[in-house]
Amino acid sequence: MTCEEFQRILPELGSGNSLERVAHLRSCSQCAGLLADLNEIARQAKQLQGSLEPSPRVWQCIETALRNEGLVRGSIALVPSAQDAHSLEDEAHLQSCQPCAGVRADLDEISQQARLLQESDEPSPRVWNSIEIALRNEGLIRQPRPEPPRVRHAAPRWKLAWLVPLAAAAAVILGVVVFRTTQAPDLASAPPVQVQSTTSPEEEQMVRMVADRTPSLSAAYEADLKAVNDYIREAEGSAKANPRDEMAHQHLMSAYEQRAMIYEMAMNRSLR
Amino acid sequence: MTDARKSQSDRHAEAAAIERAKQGDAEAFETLYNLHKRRVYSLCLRMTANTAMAEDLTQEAFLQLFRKIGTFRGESAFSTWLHRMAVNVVLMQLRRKGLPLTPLDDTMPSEEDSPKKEPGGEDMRLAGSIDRLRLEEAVGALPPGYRTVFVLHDVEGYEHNEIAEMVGCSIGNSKSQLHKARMKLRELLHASRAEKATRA
Repeated sequence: MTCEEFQRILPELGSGNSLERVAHLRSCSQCAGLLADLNEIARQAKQLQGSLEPSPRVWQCIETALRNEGLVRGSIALVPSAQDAHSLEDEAHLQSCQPCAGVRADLDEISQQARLLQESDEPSPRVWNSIEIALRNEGLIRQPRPEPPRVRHAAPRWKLAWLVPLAAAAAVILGVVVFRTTQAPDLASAPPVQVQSTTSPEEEQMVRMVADRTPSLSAAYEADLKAVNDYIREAEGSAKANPRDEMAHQHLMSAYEQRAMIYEMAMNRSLR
Repeated sequence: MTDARKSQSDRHAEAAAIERAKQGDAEAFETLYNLHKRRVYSLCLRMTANTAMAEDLTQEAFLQLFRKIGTFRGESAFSTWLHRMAVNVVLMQLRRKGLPLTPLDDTMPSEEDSPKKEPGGEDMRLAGSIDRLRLEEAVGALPPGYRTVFVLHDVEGYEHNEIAEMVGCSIGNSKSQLHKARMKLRELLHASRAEKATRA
């Protein structure tokens, strides 16, 4: 067997050696040396396993991600690492070793100076452009509404402005009245609850206002108003049937608050 | 405490931490991280030769593990499961970067494998002269494809059939790349030793 033939089969060389290979190795110090080197490299490589330590930043990032994903309950106590055990030894060395103390001082200086780099660089305008595009695509930024055209028949602004708190107050007062009347234990003797079950004139006016200002949103607004009125009717029925049920009354109050919010949304759209 | 007892103690601690981690226990996650971080990080760093990338990949590997920990049934060792996950994370990243995991099926010996005439004899051998730092430097200097197979086989202990499956090459290619990696390391280590001798 020649050296070339031997080295060609080296990749396939297993633990067992044929007589021919053994004979070649005995007669060729070069191939024997090569094989010994390769085996030594493979042997030493095993020591590299798990020999390096990641920086604390890695765990901090993992911990943050776990919390954001809701995978963690409870607090994570900072577990002292093995590095803390060496700090006393390190300090003692620094006190007795000038070169190392100098290196440490230089590193501290670099660290302090590095803080001055904070906010020292300006990103290019392209960065904000990309962010703005992404925010618009995700619907987090809405297009500025165009100035509403001056309509000759529009109601005076002062009348419209007072409508919001008036409607909100009416909704809350009505809710309180219903809440108090439904507290009475005897249902038969309880006065009938004044329920605003149909669209009121104020609501009709609001729907018209929204249709005038932003026709594209009119249908959605009307649907929202209908849904919240249905919800109120349902909550009122539940509160009436269960006068002692705190949750039912809370739902009812919540329903009134939602309607007040819808009123406010309509006014905000109209007054711009 | 003897090594065997310590190892058994670690296994108990790990098993308990796994069960608590499944319930979302925060400290359990950190326990598992501390038990395995060195192995995972070392693997990531050696395969990428880039500290920042290695840290990101370590983070990603553990996050994947923690997200899936509820599915761990104990059929295999936890460390095996984690380790395989880490390898996949690294290989995916290398593929994304367009780095060659291994060259195309290349089992033929190349020019660099041909026998070289080297002066000297026994005293030129590497036995007893390789220190960990020099070996780490040499591994970092390997081409990505060689480095991948070398780390997976010689450092982490995977077999060629496992490497072939993970990397997507043939077993023969895996063996060939490993041999080339070792030959290259030998060359680098000899050069490093010669340089050190010159400076001395």
